[in-house]
Amino acid sequence: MTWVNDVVQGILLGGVYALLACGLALMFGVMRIINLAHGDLAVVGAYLVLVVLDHANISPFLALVPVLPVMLIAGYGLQRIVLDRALRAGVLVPLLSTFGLSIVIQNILLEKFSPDVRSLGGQAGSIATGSWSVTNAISISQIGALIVVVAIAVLGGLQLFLSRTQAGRRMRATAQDPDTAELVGVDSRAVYARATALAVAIAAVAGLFLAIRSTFYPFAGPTQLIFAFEAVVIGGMTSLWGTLAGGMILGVAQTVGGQINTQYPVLAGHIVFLAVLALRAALGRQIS
Amino acid sequence: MTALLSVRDLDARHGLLPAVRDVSFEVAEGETVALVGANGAGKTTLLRTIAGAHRPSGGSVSFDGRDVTRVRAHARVGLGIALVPEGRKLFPQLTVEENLLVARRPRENGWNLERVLEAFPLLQPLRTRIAATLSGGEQQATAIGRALMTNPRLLLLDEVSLGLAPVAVDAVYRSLQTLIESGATMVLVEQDLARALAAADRVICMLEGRVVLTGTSSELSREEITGAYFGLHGVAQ
Repeated sequence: MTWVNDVVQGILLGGVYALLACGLALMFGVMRIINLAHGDLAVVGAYLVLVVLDHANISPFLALVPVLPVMLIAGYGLQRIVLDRALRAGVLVPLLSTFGLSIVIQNILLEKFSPDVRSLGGQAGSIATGSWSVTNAISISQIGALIVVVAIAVLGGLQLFLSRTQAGRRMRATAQDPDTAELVGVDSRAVYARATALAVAIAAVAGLFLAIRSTFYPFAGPTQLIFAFEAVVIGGMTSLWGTLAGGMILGVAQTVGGQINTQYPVLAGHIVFLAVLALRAALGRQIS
Repeated sequence: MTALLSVRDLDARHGLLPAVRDVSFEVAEGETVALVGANGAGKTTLLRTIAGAHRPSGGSVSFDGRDVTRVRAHARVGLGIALVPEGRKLFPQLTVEENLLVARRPRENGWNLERVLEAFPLLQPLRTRIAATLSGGEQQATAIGRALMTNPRLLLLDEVSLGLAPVAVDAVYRSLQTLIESGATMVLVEQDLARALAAADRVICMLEGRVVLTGTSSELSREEITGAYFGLHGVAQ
């Protein structure tokens, strides 16, 4: 029964990873940019919620509402001011730019908010600690369930946007061939800016849940980035549902690993990630 | 007749290599112009520069009386310039219908999905097929249809018959003929001289980036064009 519980907890944990991973997948899918500052942007989202809470005595979920438009604009600006220029300079420059951005963000956060470890769990109320007992051995935390529901809603919404709307079609067309997209009337730079804006705003949502579920501090981003990155790769980098599955596989690997030995959760996640990579490489060689 | 498209002293290069040198010509509303010349004569670069996909190093492009030399490609589509690029360049993972819809720019009594599918009946059963799985002729029909979805006032066609079976080329030219009769303005690049002469009102022949011969299809002889094509024009005189 303990093992079943581990799998359930892993799936709940996977919700956070999937939420963080989908922005990463979106930017990689549309612009082939690996955003090394993605985890830090999630942490920025958490701190912005904290700032709102300093001024208003409201629920952190409500405090996210004014943060989202700020993050959308920040993402749009990031693409227009930094990444567009970087893209023109070759494939490696965007990677280096986001690496630099990551360091800048961490140090600004350190200066503004001190290195203290924070959490929004206390301000979120009973949902942060409440749980439903399914059996004696299995319980589902309310925040975990909420995260999974939000992750499915965000990924599903993004999928619908990409497949059903004109803006989504244009985003997919631009991802496949930006030059030709321009020739049929699509402003590829505006599409890029919109994709980054979406990715950064979704990162803030992930940051909020990370902050409620556990803790955050100025340098919390890179660890989250690695988990999100692994979720994207395990998911196969082709579909958003794959990313959701990737997040959950990683979550399960970590909780099951933790059950084997309390020192193993992160290691187990990395091993599953490497195993998936090796398996895919072996299969790829067989096909070719 | 007023010029819809006016190209003046246009220069375009690939790195250090000049591809288009000092090219000037005009296209009137409703006219069909064929651009002929050997491989590497600069035809594709010229079309791409007119469409805004290639940045010129000198000269100007005016459309409907407005200088568009510095206007980006997607904005030129909004003004009414559409290019069917060499090699079709469909969005491979999008369906036929999505490829058409991506370019949608509705205008009253203009082209829409239904009308394009009527004009290219072969696409009707392929609507939900992924573009990468289409045959060459089907891809070309989709590419032309996609350009029409932008409701262009000027259609630039680059090597529409390249790599197609003769039957498919006939089908493509039949639909182009319908477009020409409906008063469309077109510049088409074509390797097949007979087809170019049959479809166009006027022929512009390019050699090594320059315009070496221009005239109406009826007044130019096949020999004159062939001479210009191979750079024998001056020699023949």
